[in-house]
Amino acid sequence: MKVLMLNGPGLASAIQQAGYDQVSPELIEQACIRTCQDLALEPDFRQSADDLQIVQWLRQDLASASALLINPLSTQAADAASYPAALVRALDEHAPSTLPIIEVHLSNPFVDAQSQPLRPSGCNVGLLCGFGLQGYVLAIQALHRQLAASSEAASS
Amino acid sequence: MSVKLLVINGPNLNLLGSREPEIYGYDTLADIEARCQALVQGYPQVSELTFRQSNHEGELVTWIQQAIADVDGIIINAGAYTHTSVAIHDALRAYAGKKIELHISNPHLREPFRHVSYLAAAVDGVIAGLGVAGYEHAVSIMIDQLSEHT
Repeated sequence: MKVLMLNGPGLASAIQQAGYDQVSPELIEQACIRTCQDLALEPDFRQSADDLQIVQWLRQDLASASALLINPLSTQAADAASYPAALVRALDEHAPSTLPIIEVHLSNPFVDAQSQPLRPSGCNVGLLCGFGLQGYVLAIQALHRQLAASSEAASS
Repeated sequence: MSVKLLVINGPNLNLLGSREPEIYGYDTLADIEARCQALVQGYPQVSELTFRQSNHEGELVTWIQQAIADVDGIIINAGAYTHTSVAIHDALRAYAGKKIELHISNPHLREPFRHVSYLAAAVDGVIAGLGVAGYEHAVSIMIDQLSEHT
């Protein structure tokens, strides 16, 4: 079962801003891959500085994923405000309603209202904010638990 | 190292298991507490995990104030007070330990009056929408985060 893990623009600078001196995008990726492998999940970790690429990945690759972890981050592009709306549209159009999805933020975005969480209407999204690298690890564990619960429900 | 944790539950969470189970599930708060207590058995550094529930805002404030003295981390599911309570916000600000705001469902996907949290800016982290499993996830990440800083 594949876990698609998408990271939006500016992961390295977000890590820096959050004050996680010991963390890097590479360490996050390694921790995610290791956590997936420990849980017999197939990791697919991606990062792009191009917000359109994140939307495109959602459109193209949600169908082949068993679960989604997304750290949307934010774009500095001129049309920055359209990025979260495009993510929500892609989720509404391409995410099955039963797909386990968790939105991860390294820091707590509510402290200074940096960003609003995603609000798709057709699927459930879990939120994990403010736990740094550990938030990614926990998100994968939580996705694994959701997948195990739904396969148990399907077989009973 | 001896870690004390407090899980505070607000209004209507005493009805878990019977209130809108399609949103909140069929587990009772006692079921959830039992699983969290079993979970902390695997962490010898945790000396105490206390679960509390009240429908009264002032009682939640008092529990947070009392925790200032000797509790290392608070996990709070303030229920509907999340969206109204400046008093709980202020109490959490006064508490210097680790704080996690927890919700069973993701309030941001529900009615607009649940989109604002008075607590979120006063805590270290937020967990929402993971179902009742969110309690165990909150306990385990709280322990991880406390271990990281000690």
